[in-house]
Amino acid sequence: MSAVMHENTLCYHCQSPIAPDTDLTVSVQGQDQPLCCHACLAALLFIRDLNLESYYQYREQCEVTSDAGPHHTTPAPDELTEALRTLPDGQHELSLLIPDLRCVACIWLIEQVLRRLDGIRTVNTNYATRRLKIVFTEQTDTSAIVNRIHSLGYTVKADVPDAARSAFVAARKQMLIRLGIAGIGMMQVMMFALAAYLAGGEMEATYESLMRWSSLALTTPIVFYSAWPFHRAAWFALINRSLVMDVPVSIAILAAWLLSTYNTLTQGAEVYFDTACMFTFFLLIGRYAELLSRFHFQQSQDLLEHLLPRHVRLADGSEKSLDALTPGDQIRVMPGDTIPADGVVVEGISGVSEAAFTGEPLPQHKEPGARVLAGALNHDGELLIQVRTDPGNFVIQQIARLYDQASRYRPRWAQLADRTASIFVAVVLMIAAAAGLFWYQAGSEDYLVIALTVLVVACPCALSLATPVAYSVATTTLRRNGVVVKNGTFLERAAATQAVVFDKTGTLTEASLQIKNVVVLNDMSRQGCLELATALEQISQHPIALAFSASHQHVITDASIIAGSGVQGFIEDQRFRIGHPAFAVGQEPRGSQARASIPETPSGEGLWIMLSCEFRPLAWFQLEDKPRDDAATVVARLHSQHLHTAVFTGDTSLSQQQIGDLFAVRQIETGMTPDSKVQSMRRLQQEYRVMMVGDGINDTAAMAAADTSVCVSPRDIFVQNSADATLINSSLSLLPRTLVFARKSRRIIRQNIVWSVGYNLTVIPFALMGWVPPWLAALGMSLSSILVVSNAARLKRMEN
Amino acid sequence: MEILFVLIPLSLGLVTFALWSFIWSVKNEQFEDLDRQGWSILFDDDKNGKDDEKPPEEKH
Repeated sequence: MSAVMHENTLCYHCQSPIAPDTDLTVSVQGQDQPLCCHACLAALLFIRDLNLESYYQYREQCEVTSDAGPHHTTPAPDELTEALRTLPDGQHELSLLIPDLRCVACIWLIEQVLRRLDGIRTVNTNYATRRLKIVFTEQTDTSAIVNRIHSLGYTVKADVPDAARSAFVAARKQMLIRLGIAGIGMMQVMMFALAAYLAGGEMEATYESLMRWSSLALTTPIVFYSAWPFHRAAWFALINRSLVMDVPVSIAILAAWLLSTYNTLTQGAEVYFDTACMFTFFLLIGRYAELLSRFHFQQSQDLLEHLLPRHVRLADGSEKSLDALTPGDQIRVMPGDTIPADGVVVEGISGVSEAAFTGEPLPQHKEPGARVLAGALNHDGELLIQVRTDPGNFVIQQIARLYDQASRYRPRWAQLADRTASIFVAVVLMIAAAAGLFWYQAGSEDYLVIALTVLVVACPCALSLATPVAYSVATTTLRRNGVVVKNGTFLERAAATQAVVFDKTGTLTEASLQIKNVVVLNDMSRQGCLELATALEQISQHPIALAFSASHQHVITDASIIAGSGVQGFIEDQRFRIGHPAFAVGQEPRGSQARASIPETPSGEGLWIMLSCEFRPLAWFQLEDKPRDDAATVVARLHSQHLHTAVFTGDTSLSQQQIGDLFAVRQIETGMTPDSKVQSMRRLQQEYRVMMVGDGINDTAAMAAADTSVCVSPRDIFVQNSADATLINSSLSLLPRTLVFARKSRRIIRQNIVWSVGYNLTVIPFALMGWVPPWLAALGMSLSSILVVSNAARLKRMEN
Repeated sequence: MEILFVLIPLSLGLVTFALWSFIWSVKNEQFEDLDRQGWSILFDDDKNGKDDEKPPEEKH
């Protein structure tokens, strides 16, 4: 019954798609539920035996991410020892990392299960970092804990202490404390300020003095502890003879405090403790947000690294550390293990899930000769893999590096802002000083206050803060959706793109062959020919063979592959051949007599191969590259965005007319060399800003010539490195979305710049006139920064 | 209005206490995972489950 619903259903336990031929169900709370594999069945039965099925209900209330999968690895005992710590009171603490924690219900389940073990004192799970700290007494064995979690179907990794990470956590804690002190202190100081404001100067001197002294006591830690990062950065900039944004910030905070302290001691006119607190608090919020976004980045890097095991097993059974692997080493990967290295399958057949790279959750079939990537998950067969690259050059590491590189990038205008910042800051300081001097000359008592206000108002904090934030949010969003940005100029240039040029093979097509046409030469049916061909091609791994997929009942004996010619096999003692026409009719091997003449090749582009029985031709098959399902839609969507489209291809198998019919692009050039692609690109660039979309080495020159470039499902690292961005899940439909998103980013960044510059320019004249009280200046500046940061946060979503 | 001489120092005391407890909670990792507690309300049998299960296990 449930076998029918298996199509496109998800495993009840692990939520990954179920392969069509699986038929596993289990009854949960009276209902039959589908499962994808026996490991999930075992996990579910284990959960059911513990009476914890309600996990599945809770889970439905949570978001389930798509990266879930039945991972079944456990850490090596020596790694576990590293993750074990003895607490001062004699208890032990084990730190584990569970990369496939999917939602809060998982945490509930794990904690429930662990708490039932004897000797467990506390279980502390952090959902954000996917980390688990378990405190237990002597009587419990670490492997029992690990096995317990493992039997629920989770990947368990030892969380080995990492200096960079713990430094980061410490920095975050300290920043939070600075922020908390500033926030709590600010509230009380503002309360006193409000009282003084409402009293309007009619408060008795003793009470006013009491409030001022209290404010001083509260503000002093804020100015010297919370605002310390600003003073420190300003100090280092000054002793290096440069001016940074922190200089006016630090001066403003210190000046407000000094002025207020002086007035408190001398019972002077007014105090500005509230200004100092507010200024510090809101600036710290910005810094904290920046720190958090770096922290999230660090965490995703972290999880990426933990995908790979630290030790691998070589073909001879010995163990080797992952970093010591060299190309040529042969490693053994058991079912359920993560593939530790980039390489080629030497022995064994298995389904391998490359969800981490492609987003495609269904396992891909891998057999000897197939390429596998480190970080992919080996599902059902044991594989022997020959390592092809050094551990530092694995695709997974490259993705991490590209991402890192892009996230450090500062856009052109931001670089400009950095270069001109010192001039800008100097101007701000001079304007403030000039305003102070002017009002001093004019005989105003408030000259220092006005200088302070101008300093606060003119601080381009929003400008300096919000644009990098917008950029980093946008890059992270793209990355989450499967676009790895390598070159930071990509967003700016993609937004400005007016024309998109595609390569054909591998970009608009899937670069996998497909049967286009069957020409039957005798009285057999078309289907019969296809069945015979499929039966023969089954033993071959040639790309041609993958095109044949008819179901059949033929039993082939004595099958053999004649390299470069085709496949031969016997069905009921009859000799069948498929492949090159000359081979099929028996004109090969060389010199042997032709047993039948080769019929004339039917007209039509593409590759023609022949099926024969006892050298009598049975049928022609026309093979052709298959267009990507989404290619035509993508081109149409680009047209609706008013973009020019073109195809530059080196291939001559299709006429311009045929390509036009398939993809409906506006401009088609065929039979091109890499060089002529560049020439055509240059011509096109006289009219448009061009984006090149390609996948092969022959496109790289054109990619470099284009204003910006994207590569689709690269087979070659070189190609990936020459493109500004990579669509890692090889879905072309991301391209129009990316372009829309790039334009959205550009719009938001422009809004931010216009707002922050406009705000500063508008308010400075008022401050110069002495019409802005300092607290209003601090509030306005802070709100302006917050507005700009929240505007950037709109880039967290990418529209379809 | 002399009460202010009591109330203002009192407020300072309260702020100090608030700050102390905030710093204590940061240092004790109370702010490490903010996603999770929002969900914890859904797992209302958390406590019951533990209380109901544990005693019988200990009896064995």
